[in-house]
Amino acid sequence: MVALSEPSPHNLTDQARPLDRRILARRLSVLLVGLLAIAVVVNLALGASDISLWGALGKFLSGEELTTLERVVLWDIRLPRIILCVLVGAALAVSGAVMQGLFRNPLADPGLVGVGAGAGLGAIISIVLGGLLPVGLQSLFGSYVTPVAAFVGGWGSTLVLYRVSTRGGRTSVATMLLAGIALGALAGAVSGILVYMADDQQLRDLTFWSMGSLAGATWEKSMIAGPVILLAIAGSTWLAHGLNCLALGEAAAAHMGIPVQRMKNAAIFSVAAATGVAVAATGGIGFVGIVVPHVLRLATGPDHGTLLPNAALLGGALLLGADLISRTIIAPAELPIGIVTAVLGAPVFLWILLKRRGLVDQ
Amino acid sequence: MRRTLLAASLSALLCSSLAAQAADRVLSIGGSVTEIIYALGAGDRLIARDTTSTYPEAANDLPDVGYIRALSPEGVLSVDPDLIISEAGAGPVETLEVLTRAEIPFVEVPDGFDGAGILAKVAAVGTALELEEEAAELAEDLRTGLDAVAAKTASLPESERKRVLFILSTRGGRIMASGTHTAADGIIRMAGGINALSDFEGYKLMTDEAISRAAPEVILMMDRGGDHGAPDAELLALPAIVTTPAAKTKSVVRMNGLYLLGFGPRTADAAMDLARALYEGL
Amino acid sequence: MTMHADHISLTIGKKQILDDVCFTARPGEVSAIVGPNGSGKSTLLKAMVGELPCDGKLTLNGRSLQGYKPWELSSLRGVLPQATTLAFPFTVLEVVRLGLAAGIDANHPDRPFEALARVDLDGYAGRLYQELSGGEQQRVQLARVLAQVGQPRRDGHPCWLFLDEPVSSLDIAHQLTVMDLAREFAQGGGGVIAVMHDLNLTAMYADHVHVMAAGHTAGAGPAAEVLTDARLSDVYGCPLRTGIVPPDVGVFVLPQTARA
Repeated sequence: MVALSEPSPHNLTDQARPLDRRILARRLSVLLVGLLAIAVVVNLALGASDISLWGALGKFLSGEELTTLERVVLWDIRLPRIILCVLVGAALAVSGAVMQGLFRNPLADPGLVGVGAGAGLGAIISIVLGGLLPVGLQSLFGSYVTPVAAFVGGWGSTLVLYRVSTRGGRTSVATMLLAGIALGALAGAVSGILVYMADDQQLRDLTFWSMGSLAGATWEKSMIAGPVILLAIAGSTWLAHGLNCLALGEAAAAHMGIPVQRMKNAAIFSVAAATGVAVAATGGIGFVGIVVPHVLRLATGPDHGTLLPNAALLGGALLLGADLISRTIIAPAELPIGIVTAVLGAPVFLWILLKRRGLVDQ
Repeated sequence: MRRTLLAASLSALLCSSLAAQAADRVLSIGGSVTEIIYALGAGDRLIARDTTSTYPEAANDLPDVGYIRALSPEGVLSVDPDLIISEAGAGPVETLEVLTRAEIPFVEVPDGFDGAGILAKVAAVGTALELEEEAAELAEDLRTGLDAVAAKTASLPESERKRVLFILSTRGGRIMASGTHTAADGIIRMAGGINALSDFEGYKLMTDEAISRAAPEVILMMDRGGDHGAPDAELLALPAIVTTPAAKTKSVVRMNGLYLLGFGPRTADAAMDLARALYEGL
Repeated sequence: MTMHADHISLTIGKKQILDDVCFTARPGEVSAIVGPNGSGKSTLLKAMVGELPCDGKLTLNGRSLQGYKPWELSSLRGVLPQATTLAFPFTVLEVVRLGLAAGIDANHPDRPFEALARVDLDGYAGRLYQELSGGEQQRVQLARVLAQVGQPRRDGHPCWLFLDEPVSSLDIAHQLTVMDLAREFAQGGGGVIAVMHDLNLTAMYADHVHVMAAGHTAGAGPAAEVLTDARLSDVYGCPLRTGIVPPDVGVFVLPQTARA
């Protein structure tokens, strides 16, 4: 018999070669870039105020002065909001895909690393007890007290979970899942106590925070969130091969040369960074992290090498679409975007569960 | 057809010339501010309102820019206001920053849950609309009404004053009630009652025991639907309430929320109505 | 240049699974680990590839196992687990390609197809792994391992295949196919260590047999010397005879007949 390096005796016809899904995925990437570009333009052009993007663009190009309304709406409101929206959508979708790869479960969610529970707790503490902060700290963070507290809370709970589930340099994903449930319950209990202490107005603030909104998007927020999220996404794509091998199991991945523990650390902390920033900037936005990777896996397969970049593109485009609905459907008022993603995402999620149950029942 | 068109354009011309410098595209945020603007006869200068502005009826026809603490910057800009008059507490901060950048005057009217607070609001709204004279007239009217209520309730002996518990909601069997420094506390005082809960500020979720210890003689609620209004029988059967004197005498008073808590032009009437509901024959 | 395990002991919980086991496999040979259920054969293999922490010393090609970087090991040693469930719907081609990417060779487009052809899975590349039968899945995994460690020798060093029950869910023809592959790899100068249940196939293919019983070594050496009536009867707890055609039986089939 022959060694593998020698020419194969088998006649490899084109028929034996299936369509490589990587090529399909790359074509999809091109499509998604186009979709994202269209979504950006549509979001820039449409909104509650009735100004003409083309008119403003024409003026801008011919060096004419823009009206205050045009300048404020396009430059101060829509553009930073679009940027933050794309960043957050990409962060949530990529983090979801990474978590699903790490937990080897297509229903895993960035919430599993405790970011959601911790960030929620941080937000509640800042809203209810923010007034007790020393005046110096209050003026230092200004209106960013809640985002900062949400970020700190998200990271804090991830660190606790990581510590609890890491023994002798090995992180047990199963322990992390269970500890995450316990930590979520604890955060829920503490939140419950704080809700009792809160007054009516704080509860309303809390409700709006938990429903998520991009209405508070500013250039500063985009500029703070941008580098963190972009770095985390770039880091995640570097994990793609490791996550693919992990689909065969941790032992198999290790035998294939993957430094499994280092990869887990990188995955957990890039997810905590990206979702921590995203949740801090916009509050609770659900379902993007589950629905986007799932749809992409159906379309072009589970290869993380293409799944992660495509998830970033589709996540950004999808959240832009949701934000467009959020901004225009009850204009001039605004529907919290978390409600839009839930209304769109929950049925898809149920459909995923039904399909999976079909697979399990077989 | 032609005549109405002519009349319309004429009146528009008249208006714009009259209010050449005064704002005539006003966005009102907060139910009491909206009421005051209508009471000043400036309702036609309103172009939009917030969710809580539901009185008078005409206000409901205006576009709604959302909840006072979750205003969307573009939503506010889209109604193209040249003046925003708001109750205290509008937000978020990011939206207010954008409005500053868009150079739209933003007037925040101070809150105050007593007669003086109402008069101060009226004066502030009058100034913002450059209707100082009208505001002074309205204030004078309101002062007369408020003084009348105050005079009536002042005659009540201390021993006859009723302990009133204001319940904001009973969602899920948990009672959110009013402490001090709230509109509910203010209206109870104006009507000659005593707030049964005086050891905390704001509206809070209460434990059952705290309510029965407060021993209210009358329960005051808003009569709008949804989770705010449980039927009386259901309400009085709640474990927290069943032991209170109010449950024994079945004393529940329900009034329209904005009327009761708005602290606007109708508050003197609301206080009088509440006082009559509390004390028979007043 | 051997795979050497020196005085390996391993406990899980309070139970001692391996007790002072010494094991040596040489390149150029197929080494089989046999023994009854629960004797510790799979555990020994897992200890030797570093999946289970154990006491004792492990050396591969003369170097301590701990001294290797993960990527050095992955181009030198392939490990086939008993069964692999996949978390996501990868195609057969994608699974095999994962092995290729783990190996040191360039990303040659034909290599996965060649590996599939060697395990008799021509035309399966586009199928979904999760929709295959257990035996087909096992052969896909072997193809993946072959894509990872394709050559028996690299830079003058022998390469190694660790196979945990590689033929357990295969039909007899494919059992022979897979064992032929193992033998070729050994004949090319590589080392093969396989946990085996089938004593006939072991006798056919193994150059070296290591018998486990209750966590101890119950014998090691060339197949003909180790697979004796007494030792097998003792280890498996039932009277067994080698090389005897039992009288008064109807049909029996030996894999040896296919290669006779």
